[in-house]
Amino acid sequence: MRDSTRIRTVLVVLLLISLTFVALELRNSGAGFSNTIRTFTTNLISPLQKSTRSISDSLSDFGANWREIRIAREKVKDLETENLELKEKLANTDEDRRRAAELDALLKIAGLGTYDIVPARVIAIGAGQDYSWTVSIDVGSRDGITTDMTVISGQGLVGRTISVSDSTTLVALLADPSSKVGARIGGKSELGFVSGNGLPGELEFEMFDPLAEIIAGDQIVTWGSDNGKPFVAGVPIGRVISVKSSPGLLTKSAKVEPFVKISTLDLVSVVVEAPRIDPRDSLLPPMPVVPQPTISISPSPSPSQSQ
Amino acid sequence: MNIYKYLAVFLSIVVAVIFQPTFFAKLDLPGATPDLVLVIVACWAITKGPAVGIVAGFLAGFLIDVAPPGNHLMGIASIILALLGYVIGIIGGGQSRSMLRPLLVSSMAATSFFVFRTIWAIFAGNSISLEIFSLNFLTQGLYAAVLAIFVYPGITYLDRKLGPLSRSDELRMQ
Repeated sequence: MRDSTRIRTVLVVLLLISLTFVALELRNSGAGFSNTIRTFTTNLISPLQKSTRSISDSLSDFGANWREIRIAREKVKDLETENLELKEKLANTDEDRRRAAELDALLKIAGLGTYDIVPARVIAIGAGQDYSWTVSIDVGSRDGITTDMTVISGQGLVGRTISVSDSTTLVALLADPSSKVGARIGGKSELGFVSGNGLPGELEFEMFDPLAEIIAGDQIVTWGSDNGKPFVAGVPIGRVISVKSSPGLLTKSAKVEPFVKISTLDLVSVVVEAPRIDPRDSLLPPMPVVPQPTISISPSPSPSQSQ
Repeated sequence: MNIYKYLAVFLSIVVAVIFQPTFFAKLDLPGATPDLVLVIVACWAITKGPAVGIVAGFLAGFLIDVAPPGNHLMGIASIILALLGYVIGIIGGGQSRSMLRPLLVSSMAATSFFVFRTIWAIFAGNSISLEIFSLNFLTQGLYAAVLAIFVYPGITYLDRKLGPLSRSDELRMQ
């Protein structure tokens, strides 16, 4: 009996501590004591997460190859170890090649739009457990990052920075339900906004003009905010996959498939200075019929990426 | 008092918090992301009872709130997880040979935390469709059960290896 009272005391004490945290955070709204704790743990955990990244990378590569490996084991048991070694090597070169291709793509998008960028790697992905989609990246205030900067990858728009510490930055992705981006249809200049709905592969595009023409396959680019914060103009967002008919509503909406896939996010870059001239539609990927060398980058030919 | 066991609880949760966003989020499974942290808290609470459940839950909640890339109100998750750890310790506690109980309890813990977070998200003003909610709810429970198959034996092994936690613990086991 004494045991259970003690347990309850522990529970009550810990609950009170938690409530104190809540109160402190609500009162200071992200400054002061709670901010100190946050910065401390971020600085402590981010390096650990950075080092586990390589482990998890090789683990997930292994996961993708698992089925093949099992068949190989049944057929040739003695070749198994060698097979694994070779596969891992292959996965590593693929990884390097993919990263090089991604960097190329980033440079290209930055060059075309004349963005001033800081390249970064994704450290951790907030799993969307509570519908918020965030990632942390390995650059911070030291590299000149502030909040409300546009984050892009070689494929298109990733999101915006929402909080910055010394060496890491938190990025809210497009899929985050709180994200709203002013956007227009490439080539048609119809305005609207893209919002996330908590699903990683799907965005919602709402147009201001209910009579505007929009069809599946139309491409969406950012409209651009004042001074390029939080979003610079002309970054590709995604492609329209279906148009919702919504009679009686003031706006017309469509489902958009983002160009950037969250689970394969690796190299991204933060736009620290917006282009002086709006690149309009020049950054959109070319239409599939035109054979241009750039197309070979966007689909993923490597096995490590096609999972 | 066995300091090593508290250390084991602490370390297992820290490892889970580190791997959760770097590994499980990258797997890109359909629906929800497997919640390793919750399963570990549930398994400790099942093997060691409410006291350890409360401490593990509080710690896990604290880390979830402050560790990157989390962006929550600090303290909320520790309240919920400490309570969850307590409840699991009371209703699911005690060692048994059956494997079914830890699976069920883990998946219930993961889904109830998920439901709480959904409510929280709705209060925060996010609109959540029923489709997404039910998909995530079901997969969350399923993944937690699958994770528990691996996590529970590991934790009972650690538990046996490190010996009893305290004298009262020893008495209860007899």
